[in-house]
Amino acid sequence: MKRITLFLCLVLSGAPVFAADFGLVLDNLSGWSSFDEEPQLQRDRATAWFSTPLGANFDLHASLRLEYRLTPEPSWFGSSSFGIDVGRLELMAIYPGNPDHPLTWSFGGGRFNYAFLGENIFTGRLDGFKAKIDVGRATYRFALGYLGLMPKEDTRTLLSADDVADYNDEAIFFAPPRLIAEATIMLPELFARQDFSFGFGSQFDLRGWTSEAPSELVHTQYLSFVLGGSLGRNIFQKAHLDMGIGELGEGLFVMAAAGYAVSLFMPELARARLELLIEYASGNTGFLSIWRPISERQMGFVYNVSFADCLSGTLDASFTPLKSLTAGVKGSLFLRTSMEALQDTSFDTASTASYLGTEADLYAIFKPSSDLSISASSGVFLPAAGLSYLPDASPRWLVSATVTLSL
Amino acid sequence: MKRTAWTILFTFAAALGAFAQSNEAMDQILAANALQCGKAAYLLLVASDNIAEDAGDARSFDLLRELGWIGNKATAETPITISEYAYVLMRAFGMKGGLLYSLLPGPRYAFRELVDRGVIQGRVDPADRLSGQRAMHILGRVLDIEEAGG
Repeated sequence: MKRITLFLCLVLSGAPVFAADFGLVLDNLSGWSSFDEEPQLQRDRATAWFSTPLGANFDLHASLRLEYRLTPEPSWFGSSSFGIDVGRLELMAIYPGNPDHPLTWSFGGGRFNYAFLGENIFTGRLDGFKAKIDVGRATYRFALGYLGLMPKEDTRTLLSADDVADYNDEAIFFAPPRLIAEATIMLPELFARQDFSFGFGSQFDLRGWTSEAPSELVHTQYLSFVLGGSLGRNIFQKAHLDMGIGELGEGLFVMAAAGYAVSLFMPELARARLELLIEYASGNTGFLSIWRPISERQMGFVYNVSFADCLSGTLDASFTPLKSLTAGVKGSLFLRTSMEALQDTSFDTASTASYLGTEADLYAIFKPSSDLSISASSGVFLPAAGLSYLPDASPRWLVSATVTLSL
Repeated sequence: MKRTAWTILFTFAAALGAFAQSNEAMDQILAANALQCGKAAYLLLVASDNIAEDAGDARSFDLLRELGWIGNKATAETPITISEYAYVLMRAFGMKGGLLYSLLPGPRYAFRELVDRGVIQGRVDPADRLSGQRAMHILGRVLDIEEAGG
């Protein structure tokens, strides 16, 4: 307790005690929803961080977070509502130190944030190594990491029946023991002001290497292509295609995901931004199998079904009437691509309709100063009652607010 | 790199309105590997119209001390840290900071503010010394922000 008080005193005093930058980020998330299993959300987190260059070529970043949740989840302290976790612990080497050099490379290890080129595949933290080489305008990137020491809530890795069982087992805290790797090449402005990138990602279930006997092993490989850039003054586009091949027991399966977004910026009209996004993730149709990413994401802000077997269209309009305030409205429409039943309450398993429902969200971000931000989101999902959902399926809603203060 | 330095030099000279007189002082600042507190004081106080351009390093530093914008241990010859430079810069130009800067004004939160605004860029530690060229780059970005209306 004395140490925590001392740290807070040091942070608040603003005294340059260490030859490094350090601080504390406090954030609070409160939410209310119509979900039966978790009608009230409450998460408070304190993240102490430290960052320093070590000589001309090394950087060290570290953070430790203490978290409280209203609903107790498995944590370091058992079933307590409190949890403690290493947020980031990363040592980076950068050569040469001058970023203007035509050839620079960086190599790092530890716990760090990483996103696969295909954002539908993996976004989260990794324990492992990463490297990046910039040659002229091209960037080559490589990462290798292990997920098995990460809190399972963070990675949401649900590739196999064992993963799902472990995820639902409250006695298990960590994500499944999986090894993931990715290599990416990014070529900016390859043609017609368009950036082109492609990457290859892999995921291996290590349960087969341990004494644990899995009921099924799922290994997956992904190939991603991304093309994006300016289409004209204030108009931008981004298209991505992710293809995957997986190994499930003795058999192989093929899957795909894709998306296209076009954004229009109108700086003269309260810095308005209009974006149309169309996304697809395969279901079990024809030669394709259901999309299995390494880290799952949900379809919408309220619609909390995993993004798979889906075709969605979203129109997002936002504007910035004040320098410190951005507000927006978003509407999404969801269709399924196969006739397989979704794992969702009130879903009509006998239905043959494709239309799943519509979601409308409102959001606002208020950042009155560099160290304080307040964001609020609310949304309602209207299931296709009488079509793919049972006639008595009710609308779902979610309201949440986050306050973040950086000391 | 050279071109950028010259662009900033001209921007600075224009702000002073007297390129010829400040030329020598500018040469010394640009040549400095670790900018001293006195030179930083001169650069920032002249650029922000807080002191006349013929003031020199010593007088500029004395004013900085009088205003309480620099620590008591610093002398005109001490190399200035990037966080100290950020604090003097924010005070000299009357820049508003974040909540914590308003409550506890000082180098720590001034540094954070300028990193957040993209004024201080790249790999940097608050305790780092800064070269004259880097100091000019940082000042140039603040002048751009001021020109754009804060």
